[in-house]
Amino acid sequence: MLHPAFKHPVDDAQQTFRSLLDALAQPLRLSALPCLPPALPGLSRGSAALLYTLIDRDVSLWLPSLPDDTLASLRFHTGMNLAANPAEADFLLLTAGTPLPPLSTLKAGSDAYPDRSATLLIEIEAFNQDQVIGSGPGIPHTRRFGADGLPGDFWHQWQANHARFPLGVDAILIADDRIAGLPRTTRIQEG
Amino acid sequence: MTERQWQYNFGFLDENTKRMLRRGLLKAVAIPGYQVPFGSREMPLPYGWGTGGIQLTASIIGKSDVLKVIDQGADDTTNAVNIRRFFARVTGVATTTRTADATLIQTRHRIPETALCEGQIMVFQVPEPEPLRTLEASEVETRKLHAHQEYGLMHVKLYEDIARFGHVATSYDYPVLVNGRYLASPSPIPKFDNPKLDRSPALMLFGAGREKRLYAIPPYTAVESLAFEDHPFAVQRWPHVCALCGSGDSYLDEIITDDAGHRLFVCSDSDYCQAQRTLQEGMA
Amino acid sequence: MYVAVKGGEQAIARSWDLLAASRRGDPRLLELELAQIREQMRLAVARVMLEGSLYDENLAALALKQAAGDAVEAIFLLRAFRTTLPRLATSLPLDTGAMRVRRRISGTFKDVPGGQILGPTADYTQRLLDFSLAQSGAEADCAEDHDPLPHPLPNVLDTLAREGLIEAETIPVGDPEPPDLTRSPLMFPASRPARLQNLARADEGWLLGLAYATQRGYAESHPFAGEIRMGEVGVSVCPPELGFEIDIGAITLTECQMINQFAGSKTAPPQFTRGYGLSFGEAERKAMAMALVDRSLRAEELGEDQLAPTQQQEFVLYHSDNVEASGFVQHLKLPHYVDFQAELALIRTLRQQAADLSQQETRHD
Repeated sequence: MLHPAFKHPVDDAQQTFRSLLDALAQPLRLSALPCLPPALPGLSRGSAALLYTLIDRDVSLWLPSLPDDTLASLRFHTGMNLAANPAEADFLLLTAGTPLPPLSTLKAGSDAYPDRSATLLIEIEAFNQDQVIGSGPGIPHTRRFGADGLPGDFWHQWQANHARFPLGVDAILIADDRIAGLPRTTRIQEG
Repeated sequence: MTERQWQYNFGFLDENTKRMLRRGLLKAVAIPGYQVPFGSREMPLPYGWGTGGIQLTASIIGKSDVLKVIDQGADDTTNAVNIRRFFARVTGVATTTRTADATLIQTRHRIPETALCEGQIMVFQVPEPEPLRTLEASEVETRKLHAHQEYGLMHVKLYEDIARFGHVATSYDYPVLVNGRYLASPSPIPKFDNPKLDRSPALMLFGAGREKRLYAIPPYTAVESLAFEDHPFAVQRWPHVCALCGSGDSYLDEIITDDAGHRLFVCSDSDYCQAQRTLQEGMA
Repeated sequence: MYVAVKGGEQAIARSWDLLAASRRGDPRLLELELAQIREQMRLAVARVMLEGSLYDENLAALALKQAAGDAVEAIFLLRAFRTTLPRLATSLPLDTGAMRVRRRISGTFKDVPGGQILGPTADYTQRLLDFSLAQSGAEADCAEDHDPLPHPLPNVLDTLAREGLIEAETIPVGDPEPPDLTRSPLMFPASRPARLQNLARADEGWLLGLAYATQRGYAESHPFAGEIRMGEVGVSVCPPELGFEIDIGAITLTECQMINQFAGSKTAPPQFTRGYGLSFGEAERKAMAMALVDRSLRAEELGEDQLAPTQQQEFVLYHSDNVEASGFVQHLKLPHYVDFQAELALIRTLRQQAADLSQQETRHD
């Protein structure tokens, strides 16, 4: 059985993209997703919106194990091209509870082409403001941030990811209909 | 009023091309000042006339956007009119000449005088995205220089200017270091506009269609114009004020008014100049 | 009092009207029909299709009509239209060996299996203006009347390849999908498939000049025209959902295979090398020029010194596209007065300083 995607594919993808662009341009600041498609079994509505906006046959996507109807729907709507393992993927979707592959094992780009790197879409439970302090491009001074449901050593791994700049991965955190961007430029202090 | 042409997809580009551009833009924002290669498409306007900016605008514009297009700071220059009309035909979005009302500003060669706000997006048309190109013709080589953050060539060039002329002899497209890492071209804006890039609350996007590169400066990002301790960076100043609005702090265009060589200086930013005059009329 | 020039909109609208009027010319004469352009200007149509990367004779004829015969402008129109077309399928590789040949010549052998076939060529027309063409309706009987040509015609270079005298053309390991320069940017070092694509779309004049330079010492390729063939080649697709081939039509192609300077080393015996050119329609000059430049760009892989610009990938490939080149050269007519003002201010400052300095020196003297 196929599930429907965006109601207005052109407009909804455009509005979702602008949320994404905002999220990465102003890291750790919450952006609302204005157009939500119906949820797919095993995926939040927000994750589905991001996949419909970003994925097509020109990029590779790594997915955790998901119900068949979800995979069939995603394949139908995006033409997605699944990566055999996380290290080869351009995009990775981590649903709640999926173990985080070590960030250092993912595509981080090359010295000449650091853009050829992975983007992680990570489902979390909820946003809060009491785990870390972020700074860097897109943040006027510093920004307090936190996310329930992130793997325990995520922030520690993130510091190593940031230290590799300009190589590295970028992440989008998703809590249902809200997202926060975490580009590799964001410096994180725990506490 | 130009009518929307329904034969074309919203924004002219197909959805696949928009997705390619959008993915590129997200990486560009994540690596400030780094030039992301992209599969530039052939647009119905000539290369060198803003195809990079047009493709970026087409990939981000939505129904609720308000678009402003300027060339040389003015909304009524022919190329600005032409690009604005193109977007009216293929998107039907509202357009404006007022900087403060615009959500999206596509520009060639200027940054408006009116301070930009958070949430606004500037799209720059870029002829040559590689700041090192005139010093090193090969793309393979300039990629290596960026990879190693090896920008000595540029410092030597600027210093040679100083030795020869007593000044840095670059007055526009003045190179900047973005986020302390990548040397970037601010596009051919006069160096007068360079300080407006530093820690701007607006998102700055740069598109070079012919060269097939795009790059970005996120809001609140350090953008430093190259300089030396004994030769600090300085912008252009005029001994005149605008002949129309009296502004003493805007970039001025020089206009030759007769065969005897008389000149007049007026604001290059036509919206800013008009707003100043309206303000004065209100007070008078 | 200076008043900012307004009314760009109206000026542009007026320029469109004037352009339409000058395109039409004398309205007492019959307007050109697309079919006339397609049939009677077929070489112009072929060039527009080739450099426009779109095989559609009617659209190319329309572009030529709209561009008033300006090939580069017509190519630009066709390219911009191409951007809006969906990609429905990818054809199977064309087999030029199976071409229905209308012309086939070889410069390397006096005779070849299947014979030298001149076909429709202007090569031996003596280039005397034919005044009989000045009057319409006065054309001689030009019914095609000839024996059917042998089909298929063997490729001249295959004979050499069987003897091992020329490098083999083998499919690379894994048969990787070639890049598509209309969808992804040119990257360096560029693979041969990417280079050939670029050269096929390249401006004919640019390619011709470079090819000529390779013959005059700006490369070391010593070419012989191994075979040039022109004719129709079938195009087919194999949709994955059907799993079998479907013939979707035929296109006219010109193919040129050059035999070049041999290469060899202590371990490999000497062999001739290849240069390849392919174009839509009857476009022999383009195909030959392409084959020469393809060969000169192989300098690096063949271990030759790269001393000439014709051997430098970035120089040749970055500047070959006439839509890019025409746009950027002509963008100089756009207003640049903001930057010029910046230069004016700078040069005045520098001159003032120089004047002050020389005054000071005069005083010190």
